[in-house]
Amino acid sequence: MRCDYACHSPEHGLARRKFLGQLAAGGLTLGLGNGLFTSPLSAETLAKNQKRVLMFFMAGGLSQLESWDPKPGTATGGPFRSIPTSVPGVRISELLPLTAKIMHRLLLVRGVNTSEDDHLRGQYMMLTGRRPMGAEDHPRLGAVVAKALHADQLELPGHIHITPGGGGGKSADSAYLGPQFASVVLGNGAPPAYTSPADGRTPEADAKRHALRDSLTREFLLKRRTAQTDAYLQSYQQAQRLMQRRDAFDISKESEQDQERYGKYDLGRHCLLARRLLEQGATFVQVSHSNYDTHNENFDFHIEQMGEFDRSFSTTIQDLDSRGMLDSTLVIVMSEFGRTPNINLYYGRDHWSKAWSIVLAGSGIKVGGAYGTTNADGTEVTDGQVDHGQLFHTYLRALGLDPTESFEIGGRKIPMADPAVAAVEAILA
Amino acid sequence: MRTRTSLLWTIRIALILLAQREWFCAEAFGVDTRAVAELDRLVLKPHVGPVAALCPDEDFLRRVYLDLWGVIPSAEEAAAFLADTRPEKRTELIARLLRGPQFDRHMSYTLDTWLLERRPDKGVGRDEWREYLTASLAADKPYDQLVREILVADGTVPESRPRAKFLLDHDCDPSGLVRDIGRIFLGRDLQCAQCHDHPSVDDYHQEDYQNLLQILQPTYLFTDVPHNSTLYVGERAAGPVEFHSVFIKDDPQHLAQATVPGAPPIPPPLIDPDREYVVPPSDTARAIPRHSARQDLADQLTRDNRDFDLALANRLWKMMFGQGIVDPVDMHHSDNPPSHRELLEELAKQVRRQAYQLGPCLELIANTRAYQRGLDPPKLSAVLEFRDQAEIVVERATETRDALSGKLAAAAEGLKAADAARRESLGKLQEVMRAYFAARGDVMLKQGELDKARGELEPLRKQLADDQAKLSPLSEAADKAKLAAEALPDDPPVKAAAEGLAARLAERRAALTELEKQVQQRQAAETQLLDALTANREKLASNKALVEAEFPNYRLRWDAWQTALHEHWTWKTDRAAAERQIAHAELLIQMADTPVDTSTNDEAAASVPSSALPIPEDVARNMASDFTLARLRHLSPEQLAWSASQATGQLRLEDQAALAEWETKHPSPDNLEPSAKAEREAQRDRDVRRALIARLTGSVNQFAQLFGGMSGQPQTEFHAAADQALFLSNSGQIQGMLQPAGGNLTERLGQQTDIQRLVDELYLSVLSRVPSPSERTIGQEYMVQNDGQRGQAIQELVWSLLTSPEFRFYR
Repeated sequence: MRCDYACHSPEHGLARRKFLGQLAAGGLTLGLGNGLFTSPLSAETLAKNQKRVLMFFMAGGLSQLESWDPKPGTATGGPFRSIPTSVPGVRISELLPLTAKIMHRLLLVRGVNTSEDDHLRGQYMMLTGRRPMGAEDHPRLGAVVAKALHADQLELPGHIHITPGGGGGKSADSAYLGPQFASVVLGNGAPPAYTSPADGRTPEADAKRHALRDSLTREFLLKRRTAQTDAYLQSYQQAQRLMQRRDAFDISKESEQDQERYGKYDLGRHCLLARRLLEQGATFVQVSHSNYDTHNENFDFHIEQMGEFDRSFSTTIQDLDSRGMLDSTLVIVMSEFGRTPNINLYYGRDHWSKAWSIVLAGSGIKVGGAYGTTNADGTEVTDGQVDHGQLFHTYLRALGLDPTESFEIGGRKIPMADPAVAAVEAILA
Repeated sequence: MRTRTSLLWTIRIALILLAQREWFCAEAFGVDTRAVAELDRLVLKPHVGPVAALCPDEDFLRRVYLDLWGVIPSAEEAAAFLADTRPEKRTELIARLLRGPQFDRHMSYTLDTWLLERRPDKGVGRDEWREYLTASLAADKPYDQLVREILVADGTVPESRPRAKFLLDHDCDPSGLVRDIGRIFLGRDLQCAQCHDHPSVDDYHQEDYQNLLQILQPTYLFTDVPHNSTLYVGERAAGPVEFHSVFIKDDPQHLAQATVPGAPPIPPPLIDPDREYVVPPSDTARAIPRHSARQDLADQLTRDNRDFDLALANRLWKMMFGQGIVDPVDMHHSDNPPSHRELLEELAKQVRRQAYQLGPCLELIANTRAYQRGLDPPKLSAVLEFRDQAEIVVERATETRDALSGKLAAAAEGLKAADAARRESLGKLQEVMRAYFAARGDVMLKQGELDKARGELEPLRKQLADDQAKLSPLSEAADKAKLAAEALPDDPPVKAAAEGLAARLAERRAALTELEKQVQQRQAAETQLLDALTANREKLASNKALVEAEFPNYRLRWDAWQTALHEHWTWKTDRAAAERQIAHAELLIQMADTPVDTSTNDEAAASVPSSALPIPEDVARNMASDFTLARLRHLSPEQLAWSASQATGQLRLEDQAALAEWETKHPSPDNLEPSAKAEREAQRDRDVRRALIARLTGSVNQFAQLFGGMSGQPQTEFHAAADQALFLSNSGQIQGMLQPAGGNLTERLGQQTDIQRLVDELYLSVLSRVPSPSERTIGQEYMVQNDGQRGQAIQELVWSLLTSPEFRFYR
């Protein structure tokens, strides 16, 4: 059957919810074309269950042994002890005392086996749920979530990535989903580019300019309006709203007390920004913490890094919880892989993907404990083994999405998640 | 005789066509009007109902500038064209645009996007690459030659290094190259057929993927570590590639054939194992095989490859219509067939006839009425007139469809039989090829053993020679000692010495004999190995002969299969076309038979007589897919960057600055000869053109980053996002273009005291047309209301048009 491409891609930056709503109301009479799921959820269903994702990416490979799956007193265990947590029987590294107190809000997934020790490939797998194959490129989790969940307010971008270091702009992580779902990178927490006018124009002057454009465009639209022209004009409305909401990126607007609680260091500031953005309607926020690639001095390094993480992470979770947002926010703490049980000559640990851990919390997750086990010295998964593909399905399911659905892109159906695997039912609430 | 016939024909055609002034005009510019008319005939062949009228000049002007030059016309060019009343002006403009260097520039962006799809740069910079493309186009290099160049490039020759960008940007990754060579040059996305036959596309076979992979497998990225880690394309000698389907239980291994889809298979290159390399692979040297599979690929892909021609024809059509005859352009298969099969085939024929020169092909397309169609659909009344005809069409097309169904069923049987015969023959070929590779393995094994034996024998031989040489002094000494002992019988030490020497001599001799024996044995073994090797080589040669003998049988079956495949494709495509024709005709009938609902809330619409109402959306959509109604298209990032610069007058400033810079660097000598002067000017124009492109590069890259698709993905989709709007609204770059300076648009408008003229010039500069009365009123009123801030108001007006959908899209 020949597909109909008459109205190319009607959806674009158009929020899916609004678009569907308009269609239902008969406001737009154009065909749906491509770009949507094959069987879209109803507008109301989406509106009711607005879900969000907060993802911590521990770049370089967090050591599971110095965090979620400690093995004290063994040859591979390293110098740190384990401590009890708020969940009886579950112990984590003594480097995470504050996190230990909120364990009942978390789920440790201790049986991750991805069998890929290369940074880039491991990262690709964890973020796409697929093994790299030739020239294929699949969208990262944030792009998939933004496409599937991002709703009509759209003041804030659907896919945000807060990284240490400078830079900004847009990254190429949305593959065939297109640039509107690529992550907007907030280098060192700075607001997105061009959100304030280079000439210092006032909002009133800006509004006047837009009104002029709209009046000059009316005649053209009378005859030439399409879903694409709508999407184009809508992108200006989004831009204006984003400018009005520029404060969302400004954590100096948060109380001094909160800034203190999160920690006055990069990760603390970035977590506070993440909370602020999620509170204001962002759909997917990734916070990267760098750099865990500890081939040398693994232990000293984890004392420092875990110290920062423990405080900022536990504060974030508690705040999401106290604001009633945790139930609708899926929290993920992941890396590209873990670190070797074996301690090398430089007191370091190398890349290890056969038995490592991630952490989940919030929306759709059966929290309060640990899933999966590893053997005594942490070299193998002994129970509850999961891989990147199963986890990817699980994230989507936890958000109320059906990962067996397909995206329809330019006439092709592409499954949202690797169709060869399925979600881990045991950890879904 | 032949001359006379063709002369008669020419006269006949001339007489027929002379009546048509339009033709006469077109012919005057060297356009093959018959070919243009044929394309138009084939566009309309499956169509039922009225077609849209030709577009107004203002639409045509902006459309053809954007499609052929990638930039909107300047206000002067627009004014001149709109004022021109000669009927031949469109054909003339097309010819002028295609002969301008701006066409080469635009095509270089287009080809860059086709070929590399905005991949990150690796190994070769984008500027050098685009310059290579521009220079190739300027030199009228045919497209097929360009493709061969980029596929065989290795990056070692500095002058032609940009050619290697396609391979280097793909990291020379074989599976990535299979995907993109299939998609870009053959119109087929074989990606999903890597591990099994394509799950949803009947005619994408794992065999196609693996055969192409077989050719690309030996290609690898070579990093010259000692020399700045420069990247080159290396190629190893090809070995056998076996594959099996992961979908079919116990599927046996298949031996891949080095074959490009669409091209007949070529005899497998059977190179003796010791002759594989000109330069063998190592850490320090880039391997060069004696036989390059990639060279075969370049030839098979571009010479007499039907799929290659169809894919190029289709991409050119898409470039001019925003939609391919097969769409998406990289998903050509029997369930996504061309909407107009004969049109696509005719265009492919033209591509060959024009010897793969892109300009002449585009000239044919641009001169069709199909290309020049307008966006306004016919009125309902015009459609209703076709009711009776639609009924006839339904009847005829139904007959055609049923007849085709019969033919298709027969063709499917024929195809099945031909495929079975081909597979059987392929099985035989694979069998002898396996035997050949086994024999080849035996040769390599024996060669290895022989080399090892020789390696061990050599030191023994040397030792033997050494020991032999050392024996004679000992023997002499023993003889002399014996004589001495005989001469001095009472001297025990002498006697003892003589006896000792004699004993050592005997020992040594014995050892030597043993060594000699060993050497002889080993020599015998070596001879045996050599004999075995010779036997293996003979076996290899006979196996090679078997492969060579078997191949033509396979080729015959392949040809028969290909013919069956083509027949099947043709009937299937035509049946799908008949079905579409029926559906469209039935839609027209249904529309004619349904009373028009005038009970609309829209007062304006209600006051219009029903027959003058616009046709329904689905009919318009069918027409747009049929190329009988034009559609709104969006500008590419490059078109947008150049057009924004043109509209605001920035482009002219850059051009003037580039020229001034050149003149400063190259002061004109006095009293130049006219020829030298002309040469200097030609050089100046070339240099300034390049400098202008360089000046725009930053802006082009920024637009590409914001408005382009994701890298490695098709780049024709429309994307709107807030960051694009933020850039156009707030960036210093755009605001800079709006600041009055050096005679740019805002400065020119600022000097215009007559506000009506001001608004007219604004529209002509930004939208290449004059404003409508109501637009003129809005513009004038805005200027009057903001009289106190004239400069500001002008900037706001320019910005408003620059960010209007009419600028972002074109008709």
